[in-house]
Amino acid sequence: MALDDVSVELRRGQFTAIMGPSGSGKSTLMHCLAGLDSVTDGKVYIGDIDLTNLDDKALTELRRDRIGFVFQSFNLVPTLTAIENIRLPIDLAGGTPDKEWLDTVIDTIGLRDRLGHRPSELSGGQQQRVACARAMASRPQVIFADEPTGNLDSKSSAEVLSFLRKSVDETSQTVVMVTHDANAASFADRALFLGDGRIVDDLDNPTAARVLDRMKRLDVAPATG
Amino acid sequence: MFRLALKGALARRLRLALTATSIIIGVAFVAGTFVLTDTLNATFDSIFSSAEKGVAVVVRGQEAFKVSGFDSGPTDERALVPAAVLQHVRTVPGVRDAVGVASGYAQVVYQGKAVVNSGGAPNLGMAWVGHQPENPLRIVKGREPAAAGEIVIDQQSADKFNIPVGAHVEVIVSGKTVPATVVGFVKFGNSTLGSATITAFVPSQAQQLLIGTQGSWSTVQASAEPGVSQPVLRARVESALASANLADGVVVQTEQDYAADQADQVKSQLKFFNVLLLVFAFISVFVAVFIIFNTFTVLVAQRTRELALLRALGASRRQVLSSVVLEAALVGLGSGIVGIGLGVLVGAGLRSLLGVFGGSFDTVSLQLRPRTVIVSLLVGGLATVLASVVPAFRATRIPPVAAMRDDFTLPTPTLRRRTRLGVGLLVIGAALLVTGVNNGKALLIGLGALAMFRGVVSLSPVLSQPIVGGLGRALPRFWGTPGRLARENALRNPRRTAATASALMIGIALTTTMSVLAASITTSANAQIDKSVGADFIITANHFAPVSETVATKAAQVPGVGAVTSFRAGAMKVGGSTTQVQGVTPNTVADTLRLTVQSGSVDNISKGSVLVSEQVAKDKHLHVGSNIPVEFALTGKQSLTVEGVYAKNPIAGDYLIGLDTYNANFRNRLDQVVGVKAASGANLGQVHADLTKALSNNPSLKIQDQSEFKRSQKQQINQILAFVLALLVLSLLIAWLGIVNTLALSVFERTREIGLLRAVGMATRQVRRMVRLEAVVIALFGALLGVALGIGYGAALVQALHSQGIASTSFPVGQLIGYLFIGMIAGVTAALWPARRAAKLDVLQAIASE
Repeated sequence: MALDDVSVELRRGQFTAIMGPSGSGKSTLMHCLAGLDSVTDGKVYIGDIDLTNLDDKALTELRRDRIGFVFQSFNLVPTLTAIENIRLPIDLAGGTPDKEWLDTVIDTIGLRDRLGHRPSELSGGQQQRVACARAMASRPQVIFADEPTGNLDSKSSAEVLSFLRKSVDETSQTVVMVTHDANAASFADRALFLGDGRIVDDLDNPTAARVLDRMKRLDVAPATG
Repeated sequence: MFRLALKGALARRLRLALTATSIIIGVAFVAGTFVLTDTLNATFDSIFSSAEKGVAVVVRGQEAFKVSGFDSGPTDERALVPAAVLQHVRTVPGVRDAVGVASGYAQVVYQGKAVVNSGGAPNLGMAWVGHQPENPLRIVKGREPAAAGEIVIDQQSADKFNIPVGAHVEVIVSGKTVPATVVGFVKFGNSTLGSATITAFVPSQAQQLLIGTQGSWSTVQASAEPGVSQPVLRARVESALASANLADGVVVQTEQDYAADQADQVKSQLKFFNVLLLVFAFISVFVAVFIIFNTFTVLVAQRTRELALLRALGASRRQVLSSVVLEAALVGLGSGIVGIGLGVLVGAGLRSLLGVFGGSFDTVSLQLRPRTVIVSLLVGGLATVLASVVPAFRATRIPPVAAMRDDFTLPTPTLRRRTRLGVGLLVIGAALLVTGVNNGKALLIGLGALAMFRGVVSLSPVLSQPIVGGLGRALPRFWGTPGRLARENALRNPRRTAATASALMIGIALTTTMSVLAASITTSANAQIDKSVGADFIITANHFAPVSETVATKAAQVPGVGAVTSFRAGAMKVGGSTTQVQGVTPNTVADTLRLTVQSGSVDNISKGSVLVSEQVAKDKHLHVGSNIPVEFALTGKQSLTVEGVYAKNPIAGDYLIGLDTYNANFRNRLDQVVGVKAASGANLGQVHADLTKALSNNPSLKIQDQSEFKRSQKQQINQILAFVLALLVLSLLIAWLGIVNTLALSVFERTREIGLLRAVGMATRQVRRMVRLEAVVIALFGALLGVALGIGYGAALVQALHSQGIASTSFPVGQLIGYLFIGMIAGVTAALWPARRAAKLDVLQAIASE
């Protein structure tokens, strides 16, 4: 069992990091929270919607309209340009994007001059920034980021993380990020520690040093992926 | 390497199953054609050999030259055998007994209905020669005919027309109708003679009615005393006839040779049909090769890492090459075996299909010859191996380091070389085609068509960008993001899109070619009828079966009829080559045919004279009064005098002789067509009705005015077209499987991408739509290329057939649009399963998959 008796409330407008070594269940937790995986027992709510009661169609719409995703890699559809990728959830819903908001998002990621490029023409960091912009474009209730900096060098990582931070600070975006990187976790307002499918600790305003220390104390070596 | 190849084949079962299916269909078609051909041949061999079982030696008339197939006219044109031969043969030592056989045309009319076979098989009249071993007929019900006016008929006809024993019927023989009583039913050999109707009289009446003279027989057939072999008896009969001065004009054959001769006559007519089937079978295999090529290309690409790992572990290039080729060979052979099994079923199916058109051919079990098995396995194995060689070679180019890299893709040669090759082939092909068309060289036309086809295949990846892109432009407008993604996906791998489309292109191109040809033939035929037919009514029988001359006699008696012309078909030799000649009613032909006289007169052809077309007059330097040496099968060398020269007239052909000349040189007394011109001032509608009434006893006759005749010509052309299209459907089916295959592979390759799309909110409905639209665009691309190529081929073919009387090119626009539509339907249906698979992907697994 990947998760066992996990009860957690993620606060609106907060940047939460879910930490833990490989196999600790952090990805599973995120997948359950995001409606990608189903729980065998218990309930999952986003806002006041009970995910466990939704069928595939409703879950799809939920992901499209209320959730933003940033994955570790392969985040973008290779045949679509950057801007098309950003607009993808909105276009799938058949809606018209809030132009002003879209402009804000694009300016924040700072890739206005590369919007017509395809993912293969963008660097890894640029691709992740486009993915973040896509996650934000539909003003979701929550963004789930799964190791968003896992494949990036430190400079690109910092860019992506500060972008997520900024979205929380400036637009009260709710962000949940799975990571095993203490430095990445230091950008968050709160760090949850998972071990063997249970929540083992909960830190507010984590710093890299405190997170590292915490992980050491848990007697868990930093995982490698 | 063998084990590796085997494991490779098993591991990708699903994709290989699809690949195998396309090969199986192709091989089944090939094997089925062979099975059918062998079975029919064996059937005819058995019919004729069992029919002549009791006979040892046959004496028959000579023929000056061999005519067969479509040129031969309705009856055997051999000379008759004098009755004296029969008397003499009976005295030859070793001859147990001998009988005279009389055969000809005889059609039974029962209760005002003509007993005919719907398939156009002949109506045979025969002599009942008693319960002799020489007699091919066996009584199965009733008794044998004992006197003039008594007949036996074949059981098949009796059953079909509910004729009881004792029925009073009329029999139409050449030129007259006689009353008769059916006293029994017979079988020919063990069953039927193809699907011919059989009427047998007592010998003297048969002679009189069927061959017109009591002094002759069609053939004389002798049985042997025990212990006397066929060749020995043949030699004895031959020398006996020679010493009695009876050998002139007759040949003596052993029963074996005679039966083989008879069977060959039928088989030669089947040959065209067999070749046609084989051609389409190989087209199917050809299409299958495309699909396999495609599949193996994708498989190798997907196995890049696996193959690189093998190389890193020390496998040589040759080992990698042979593992891929061996895998292909295994698939090919396996499919070949299944294909053969299916082929036997196809053969059985085709045979029973023939049964529907009349006649039963199921007296011999299905023939699966070693040749069929070998050819089928070779076709299956070779086609698959050939299709896999290029991808396999590409596999050897994978560097070992690719195993370590995540994102390695095989380097593909630039499209520029392909483009150059494609343009080159297209230009060369077009040049060959045009040259071939202008010089009437079929080989050049074929080569040109093939080169052009190959050129278009080479160009198709390049063409796919503008065409697929253009077609796809409409998609986002109507179907939003799924449409946009479908367009991009179709554009993403031009080679794969092109190869998939090419497979469909072949079938559609051939379909279009045939449709253009059929439409052009129809248009030309209509124009010809307008231009060259003067008759108000045209009388023919179903399936061009010849009709008795009573039809013309009866028609002439109908009030309001001005002129009636019989048209009889025949062959003669002019200057060493066999050509067709028509015998016509000499004084009415100018009324029923619009003959434009160039010189001389066409109004009343004298005996011994001939009318020739201007083309013949020009080629052979003939003018009115010239003598042409000709040769007839029955009467040998003759001389005809040119009496008139007429402008090109497709219905008249090149040579017209009067009926008196015809009758002197042919034994046939049946008309192929009867033309009727109404008297001036007659009410055409009334004449039509009266003609129909006068000829109502034979329901197989069609009495048509010109527009009805045109319509029925068109119908016949369309029937042939439908038959050819039915054969092409198999190649389309294989191409369809190819689309399914490509889509399934693409969906598999894009697992992660589809997972991502689902994660960010693409509904299953939208996923399905995306895959479906991609398929539609690819299929439509293939259909467009096919229609374009087919229009070119069709136009070239029509040009090439210009001298055969296909004067105008006509494009059936509606049909061509229909083919594009069919292409779209093919796309939609091919996408059903891959689209469902894509929609059912588990999102979480898809994102996690490598």
